[in-house]
Amino acid sequence: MRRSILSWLAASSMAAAALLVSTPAPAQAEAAAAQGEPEVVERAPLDRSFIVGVVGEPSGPGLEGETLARRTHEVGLLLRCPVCQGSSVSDSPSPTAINMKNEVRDLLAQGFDQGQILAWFEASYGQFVLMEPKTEGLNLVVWLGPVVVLVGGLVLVLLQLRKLRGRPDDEVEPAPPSWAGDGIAAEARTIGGAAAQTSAAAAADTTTDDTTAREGPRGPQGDPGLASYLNEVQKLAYGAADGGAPASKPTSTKDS
Amino acid sequence: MSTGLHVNEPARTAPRTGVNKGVLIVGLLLVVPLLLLFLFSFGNDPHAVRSPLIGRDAPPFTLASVEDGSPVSLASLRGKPVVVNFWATWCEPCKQEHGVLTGGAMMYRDQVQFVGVVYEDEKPKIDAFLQRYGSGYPALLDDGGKTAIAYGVTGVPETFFIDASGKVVSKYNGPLSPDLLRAHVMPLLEGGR
Repeated sequence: MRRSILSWLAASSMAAAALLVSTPAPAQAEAAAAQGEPEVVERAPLDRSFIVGVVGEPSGPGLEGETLARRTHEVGLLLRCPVCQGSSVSDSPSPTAINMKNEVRDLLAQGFDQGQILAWFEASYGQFVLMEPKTEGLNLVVWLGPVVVLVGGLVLVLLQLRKLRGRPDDEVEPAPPSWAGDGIAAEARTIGGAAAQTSAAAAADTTTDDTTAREGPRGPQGDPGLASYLNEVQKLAYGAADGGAPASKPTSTKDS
Repeated sequence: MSTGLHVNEPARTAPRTGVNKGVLIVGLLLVVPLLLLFLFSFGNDPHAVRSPLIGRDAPPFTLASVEDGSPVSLASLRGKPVVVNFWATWCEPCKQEHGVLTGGAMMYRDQVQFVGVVYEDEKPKIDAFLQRYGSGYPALLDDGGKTAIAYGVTGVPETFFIDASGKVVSKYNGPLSPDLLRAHVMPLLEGGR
């Protein structure tokens, strides 16, 4: 029972880790994006002073040509398309993603760097817009949680393995008797063995006879009462007090 | 004399009782925080995050009016509260909300300025929409979606409530009902007194 609970705990931890690292699906579908792409003809100029007020002056010269296209794609990969199912701006064909990519291109062309561009989008959308959450505050749960859960799960598994290795073989339960006669005989033998152990222990505890203690456990002969009882049982089981095989198989078997 | 049937009981291994405390603690440390996280997070719309614009200056814009192409800027509306609604003709909830906003624009016409910013749409469709459903306040074209990006719009309808000083006071995702509109407009009016 306990093992099954621990297994469940380990399994649920792993499943939870998998859930945790997976990206939550936005409620908004891309259906809006599929509703006919509007023709983006001309764009209103950026309110540069407002952007500078949020992220500061551009950090360097503006990009152009192939470098501009490459960096636009790279920065777009770091931004989440807000109307898509976990896609980045660079990966999505939706009009919103295209508009955001155009914004990235314009900002790079004006000399804003990657950090400033991400900060500008974050100022509008919040950290939701970043494909990778920042490694700070509660976000650390997202970054470290899966590692902690994985290590914890491994520790649980190792603990269980260690416990299984250290488990003695005699904990295995004996097979049930195949028929009642054998069961009675086995019971008689068990009684004999256990009685011998009991009497030996009693002898070791109560008698001062060193010989008895040195000889170890004695048989039923050491206890006349028990020997007599065993004889009765063996007569019942085998029809003879010497423990010989019965003349015929008893009819009161479970197989009948 | 011993009773034979009870003699063999001590030979059996007694079942282990109790729980390994170390394993229990590790398991609880792993599972409880996750259960709490799921308990408080499931059912939440990941889009319904608090806008980082709330409490900050509203991003300025100058956009062309759908009606005649004349430029309308947020700065020109400064001095009284502004309700900026992002909408589109392809958005079904926007049709329902349009009547609420038109009614609100009439009700608060001397106190609050209503502005609609059309999101990812085309002028012929907007004209047809306004002809059919009526127009009680300016509708502005956001070609290129730069204003929507500056406001962090993730879908339509979304409505921003800006006070007379130009600060964003609140934001609502989804279609507004008359009660919701009143609930968001009242703080703007009270703040201006």
